[in-house]
Amino acid sequence: MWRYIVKRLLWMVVIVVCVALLIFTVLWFVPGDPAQIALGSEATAADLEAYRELLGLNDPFLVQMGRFMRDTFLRLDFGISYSFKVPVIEEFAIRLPRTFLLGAFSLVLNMVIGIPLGILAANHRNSVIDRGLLVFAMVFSSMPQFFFALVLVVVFALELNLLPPFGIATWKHWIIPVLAASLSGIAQIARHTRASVLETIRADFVTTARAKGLEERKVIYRHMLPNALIPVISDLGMHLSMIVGGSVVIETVFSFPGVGLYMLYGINARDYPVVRGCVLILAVFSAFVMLVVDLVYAFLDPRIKAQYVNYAAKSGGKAK
Amino acid sequence: MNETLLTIKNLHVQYTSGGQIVRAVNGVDIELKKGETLGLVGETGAGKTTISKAILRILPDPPAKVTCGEVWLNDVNLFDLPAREMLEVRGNKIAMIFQDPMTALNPTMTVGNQIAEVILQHNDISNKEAMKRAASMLEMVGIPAMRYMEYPHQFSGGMKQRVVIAMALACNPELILADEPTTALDVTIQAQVLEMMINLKQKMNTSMILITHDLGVVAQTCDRVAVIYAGQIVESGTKEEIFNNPLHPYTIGLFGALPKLNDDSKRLSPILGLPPDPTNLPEGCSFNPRCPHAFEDCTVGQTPEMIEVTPGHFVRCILFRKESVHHGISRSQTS
Ligand SMILES: Nc1ncnc2c1ncn2[C@@H]1O[C@H](COP(=O)(O)OP(=O)(O)O)[C@@H](O)[C@H]1O
Ligand code: SF4
Ligand SMILES: [Mg+2]
Repeated sequence: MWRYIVKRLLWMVVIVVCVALLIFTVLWFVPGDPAQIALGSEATAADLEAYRELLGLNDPFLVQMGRFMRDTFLRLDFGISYSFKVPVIEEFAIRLPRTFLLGAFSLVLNMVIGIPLGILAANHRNSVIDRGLLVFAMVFSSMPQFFFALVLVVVFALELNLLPPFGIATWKHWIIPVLAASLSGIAQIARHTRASVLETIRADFVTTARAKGLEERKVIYRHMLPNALIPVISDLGMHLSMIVGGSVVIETVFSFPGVGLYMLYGINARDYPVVRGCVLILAVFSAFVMLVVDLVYAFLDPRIKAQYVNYAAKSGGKAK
Repeated sequence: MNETLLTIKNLHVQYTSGGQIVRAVNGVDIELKKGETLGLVGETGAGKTTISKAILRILPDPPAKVTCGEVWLNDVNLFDLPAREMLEVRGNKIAMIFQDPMTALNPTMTVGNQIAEVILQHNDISNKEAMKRAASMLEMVGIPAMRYMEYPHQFSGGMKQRVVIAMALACNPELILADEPTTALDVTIQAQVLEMMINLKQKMNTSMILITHDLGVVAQTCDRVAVIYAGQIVESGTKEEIFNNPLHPYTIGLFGALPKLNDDSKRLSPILGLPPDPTNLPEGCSFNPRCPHAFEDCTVGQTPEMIEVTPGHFVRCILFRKESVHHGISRSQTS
């Protein structure tokens, strides 16, 4: 098992390095001049040239890329934002926890609402509850996130005046963003849970459990649910990366000062250090979460765990 | 040996499936004595699994519905028991061995704990004691107790079936319903598992209803045989009677070239024609579209009643009505 984890971590490093090379190259080809944007249209050609020279933007591609890779991976230095003039890492210290919290709340909501809703629908198959849930799931998993983010703002902030529309000054500011980030995930998890429960209800081992004389409660909580939820848990990784991706949208709509909004500023200002830093940090974060989800999955499903152990054993190490 | 353990009277079960009614069990009567083994033989879809699940009241409802019938265990009608008391019957007085060991075990629970669970459910003992007994059950079915903490996927099919059997025997049931316990196993393992089951059953003096396709298994293990067709028992009697003197045209077809009782494993031979469609059973005798001896009377009215031809040997066929013997197949023709 440990071997497997170490291996996965090494792969993560490889992937992050690739992402770094990729984002650097992409930004290189994106049109737009950071100096022009920073200094405005009145700047003289000489000013622009001096500014570019200062940022090292006149060096050849490989020199710049080498410098970026060295700073990032050997010195863990993401550079200084062109426009904010503050080290990217310092901004992260403030913004990352916010984005992380937004994602964490959203994931928790996904699970604590989505899973019970799915179970409820499965247990009352074809009832009003079930039908209602299916409609809810269809609407929210197919509607673009920014749209109901805006709907929430209009309804709860502007019309009903219950909640503040943007910012993060108090806990009330968090409610609409968290909801907006969660709804589609809740809908999808509920739908997935429902399908999985309906499939497991018919499984032979559930009949076996009944034939043992167990009370229905034990049949459900000990035998049916643990098996029905395994595929749902394995999907949480995907939901999390969606939440991370969606954070740019949500943070923009609500002026929520997290990493997503920072990245958007960075893109608009061609503030390369900011964009690169954000992309990398989100990549590391996603890869790490995927690993954790996989491990939880393995912990829940002995078959998967056995695969990992075998995998480690086959690749030449001691199992375990 | 003479005391009756189980009596099933006029059991009817139907499924509702896609707006159609599947008449899976249509008036089954079974009587089983203490210590006795009854072989229940019939094609796939004849209703065998449905009968055993109906006895335990674990049919999925919907779509299944017991529309009529009684199941007496000793002097209690199980169908009258409140759900709570029925829990004490399941796994404790009546245990079931399922058809497919690959899917009958919970993949996320250790095999030992799956056995311990049923012991703990029906005995007033500590967790630790239950685990100890589960470990000794494992040993009893020939699995080292050290494999207690392993999961089903680490076991072969035969081993899984042993676990299922250990689970079924764990509470010393009075009755075992074995639903094709060896069909899903390799031929080489089948004999082992079967032998083990029979030994354990004899040791504990348990009664058993053994559902099987395998006439060799019937020959080896059963005291009596009931042949089931389209949800009805069409012939029943002692093993010797059924093997040596089958009467019903369906039974005769099943036995094909008439295996002798001491023949090696002989599978049911296929019979001409399709199995009946349980959503649309033919009028009269359900077997009439495939029966080589069918005549006009067979295609009208109710299904024929059971006729006791010799004491203890019943057959459901018009040919054996006293007044219609002249239409019939004489023994010499059929055997
Ligand atoms: N869940 C179900 N829904 C609808 N029909 C069913 C269901 N289970 C069994 N049946 C039908 O009931 C009949 C008897 O099935 P079963 O008892 O499994 O037969 P056997 O065990 O003898 O092969 C078959 O025609 C089968 O199609
Ligand atoms: S009743 Fe008629 S159709 Fe049915 S088994 Fe007897 S002869 Fe054949
Ligand atoms: Mg069956």
